[in-house]
Amino acid sequence: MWWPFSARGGAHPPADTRWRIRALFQNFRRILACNTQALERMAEMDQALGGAYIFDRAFLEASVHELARLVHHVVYNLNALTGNGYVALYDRYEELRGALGGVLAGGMLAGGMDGTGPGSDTDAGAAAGGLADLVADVRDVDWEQEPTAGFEAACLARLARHHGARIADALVVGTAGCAVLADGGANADAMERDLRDRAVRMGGDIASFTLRACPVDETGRPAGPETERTGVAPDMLSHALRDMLRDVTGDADAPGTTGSAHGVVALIQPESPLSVSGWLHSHAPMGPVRHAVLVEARFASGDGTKHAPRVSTDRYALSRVHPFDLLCCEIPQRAASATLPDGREPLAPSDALRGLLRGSALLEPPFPQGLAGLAMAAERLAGQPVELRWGMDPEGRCVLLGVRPSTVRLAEDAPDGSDDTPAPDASADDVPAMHVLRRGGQTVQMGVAAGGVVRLTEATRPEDCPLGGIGVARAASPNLAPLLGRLAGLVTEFGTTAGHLATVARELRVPAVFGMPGVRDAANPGDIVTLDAGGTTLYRGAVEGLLHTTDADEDLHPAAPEYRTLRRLLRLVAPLDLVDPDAPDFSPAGCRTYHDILHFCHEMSVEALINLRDTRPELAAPRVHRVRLDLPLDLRLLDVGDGVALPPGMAGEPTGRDPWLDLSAVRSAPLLAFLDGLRAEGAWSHRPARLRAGDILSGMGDASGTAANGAGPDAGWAATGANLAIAGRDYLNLTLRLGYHFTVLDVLLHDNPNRNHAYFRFAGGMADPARRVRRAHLVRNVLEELGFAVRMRGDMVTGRLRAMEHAALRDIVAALGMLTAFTRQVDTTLNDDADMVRAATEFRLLRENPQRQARG
Amino acid sequence: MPSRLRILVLDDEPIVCKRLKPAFQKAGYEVETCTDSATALQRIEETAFDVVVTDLKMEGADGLQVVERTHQVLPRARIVVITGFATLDTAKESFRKGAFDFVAKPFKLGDILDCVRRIEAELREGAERGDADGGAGKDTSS
Repeated sequence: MWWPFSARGGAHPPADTRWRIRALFQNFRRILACNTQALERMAEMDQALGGAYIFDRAFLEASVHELARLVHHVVYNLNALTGNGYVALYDRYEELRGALGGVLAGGMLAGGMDGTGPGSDTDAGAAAGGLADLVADVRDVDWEQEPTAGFEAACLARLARHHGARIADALVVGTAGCAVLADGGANADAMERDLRDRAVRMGGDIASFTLRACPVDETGRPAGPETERTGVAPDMLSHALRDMLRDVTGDADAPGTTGSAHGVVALIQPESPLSVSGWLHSHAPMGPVRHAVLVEARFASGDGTKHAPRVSTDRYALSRVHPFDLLCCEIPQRAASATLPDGREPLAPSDALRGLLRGSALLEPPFPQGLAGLAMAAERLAGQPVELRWGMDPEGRCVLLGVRPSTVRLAEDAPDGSDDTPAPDASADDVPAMHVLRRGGQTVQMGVAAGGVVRLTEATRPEDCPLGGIGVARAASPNLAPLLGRLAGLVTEFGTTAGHLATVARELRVPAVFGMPGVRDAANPGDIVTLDAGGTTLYRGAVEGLLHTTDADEDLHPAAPEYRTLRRLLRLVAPLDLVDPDAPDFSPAGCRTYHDILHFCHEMSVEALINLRDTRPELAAPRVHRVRLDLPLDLRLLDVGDGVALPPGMAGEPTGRDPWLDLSAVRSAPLLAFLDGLRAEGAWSHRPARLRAGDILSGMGDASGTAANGAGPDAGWAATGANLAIAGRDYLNLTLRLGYHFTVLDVLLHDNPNRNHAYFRFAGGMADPARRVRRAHLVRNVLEELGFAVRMRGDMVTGRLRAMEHAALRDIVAALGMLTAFTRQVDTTLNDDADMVRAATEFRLLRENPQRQARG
Repeated sequence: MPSRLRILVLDDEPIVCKRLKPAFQKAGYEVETCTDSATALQRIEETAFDVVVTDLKMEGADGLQVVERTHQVLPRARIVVITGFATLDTAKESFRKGAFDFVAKPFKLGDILDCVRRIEAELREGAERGDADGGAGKDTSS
């Protein structure tokens, strides 16, 4: 392996300890390399969740194994670098590795309502007491808990959380809770009391409850008919529930285990007053209409008259496509004196239809359309048609009471890859080419969706976004995430499949394509379009043949074991919450995911090298200097061999803070080249009105804000936040802090071109996420123009270059310095893609301008 | 060749068959799937598939045996090997035994669809030229 260290000249550690410093430096480089590899692997796993990849269990196992290896390497190298300063990280690593192994073995995450005690990040799991994971408020149920809380509770909670649905109050008794109740004993007694108390608290003045119990399979989906009891008093809840469990299981000796049933779940709802209630089928035929949302509505009690109740049900068939037009309906006769839900009578004049009478329909637009929108959202979450149990409260608002997978299938598909699957209604090839509006981009989340085009900007509010539309946006800004619950599909012209918005789209299973060129020109607001995310194609109109293949689609089904496993794995791997080095929990104990560990190690490794002389005095490490620049950049320089020519008197300075070093003392050719580019006047002055250098570099770790003149007080200075250059005569490893990620440059600028290399990693930054994505694209384009082999994952861009002539590579390194300054300046101005193109052109002109002047 | 390409997918992980089948159907192909190599070998004897997509590591006869047998029984068929254990050696061995292409898991749906479309184009060109084997006889292992 090549070493950047030299024994010639300068202030160097004794020869007998030099090798130890070299080893520490190698530890640092390994941390950087493993960090990058791990981030790429995480991005690949995240993309697999969206269904874009065909993968198998071997992929999951290999990914977990590889991530574990990389994270372990990072932890090991940080401890080697710091003299075992972070041994506790091994414990966190082992805990996470064990949890990941458990998930691979088929286990759930903590807090799964499986009777193993609290410990999840949900309110239910975090609640005190041993019963906390047996009974939960329906709103606290996490999707992860579906196998033990049941599909119904998990789906209702999601519809409330992400899609703006009003759901009825309810308590969920999971499979473990039902088993405890059915078994009897001391735990059952305690649970009965808890159940009654919670039900009374939840119900308030309401003294009667509806109980529903249903056997579920191992995925939490119904495995048999549901049993229901109404009008149950609080004191009788446990007794009634026990009876129901016996009925459901059919065998009191073996509760929760019948046929394919894995257990039983129960829902307890206070019986709030409703004026109208009914069922909704997200996909059902009605009369001549084969594919429709079917809404059934009836008076919740009586028929609206004072006479004896007569069962009379309205039936409405609506289009499955936003804006969910009414296709046909059946409205039974009602007495002229009947009081309808809006308080009016059938012969009253209609507000909406001038000159006509109101009629006897129980529902009026947009009520059924709103229901249809929720039904389609539930269908996406379920991965199959659903049936919703709904009601209208006295104020005329829709309340969801329940949801279950429908027995109607869009196209019958066979389980387990067997061969009795009929072909879908139509293939993409059957769609006339004239219907294609645009093709291209990257699949974020598979699926097919149709609806009216909704133009989205970062200023669009959820309430302005119609439920069930197809969102069309310029860029995949994370600021659009709150809108995703309202959308049936999303397509953008720019964006990364590894960004935050992509993650949310996968979580909500909203079909999405990012990077479809020209889509905003092709799709006008209000146009009905069909998005085939898997085929990365946008069609004009509602393409029925594609829409009705959903059930047999190649999409990764949310109930598939591989999908659930991958989603659980990602929860332990991908989230990064530990971003603030100054936060109290920025510690090994605060690391909750592999990503947290990786980031923590990266931060601490930089700090360790900066403070090496103080923390490892036995190594007699070279002193770290603060480079005096005419920029407000807190840059520390660790000389590893002829990178600095110290003026007489500075060498061997015994103690004190890191001394200042004039730029004239720097001898490292690649560092000088980089700083030459970074300080190039043209990189700063082409848009003088926008930002000043001081404003921009404030995010680069000038903690004191006084580094610009090199004469500021040292009080309050902290190593965390500084930038580090490890430099030799021909070598530079530079870590610049941009936001909570680092930009890394590793370059060897040698006379022998065959030894030369450059590696550039650019990620994160201080700008908002949308602009960061645009900036990442800008950086990628520039690196490609410079001749780098470029890879882009999310907003992380890496480029590699090898075997360049000295002069050419020097220019490239200078260009990277210039690019760093340039992108820092323009990131706040990349408001749209035109800005990005303009910035690329400006940078090209800047590089070609030989008159640019360096500062100082 | 038939108007619609006939494809056999063999993978012992049901999730792969379950997802590939509708994807190929949506692209306009006739598809059968098997999760065990014995059934696949039997189907190969019975039906003139145009494309066989097979995993490598499986219980019973492994993918290379399937490749070899397919090459013998259906010399016109193109064979695509999909595997999560891609190495240079396995790729070489697959090609030596007659594979047309080698795709490492995980792969994008579009990648394998592109692969099959290439095969389809080649087979049609071969049919138009009147090649007895649809061009299958040429060396694709280089």
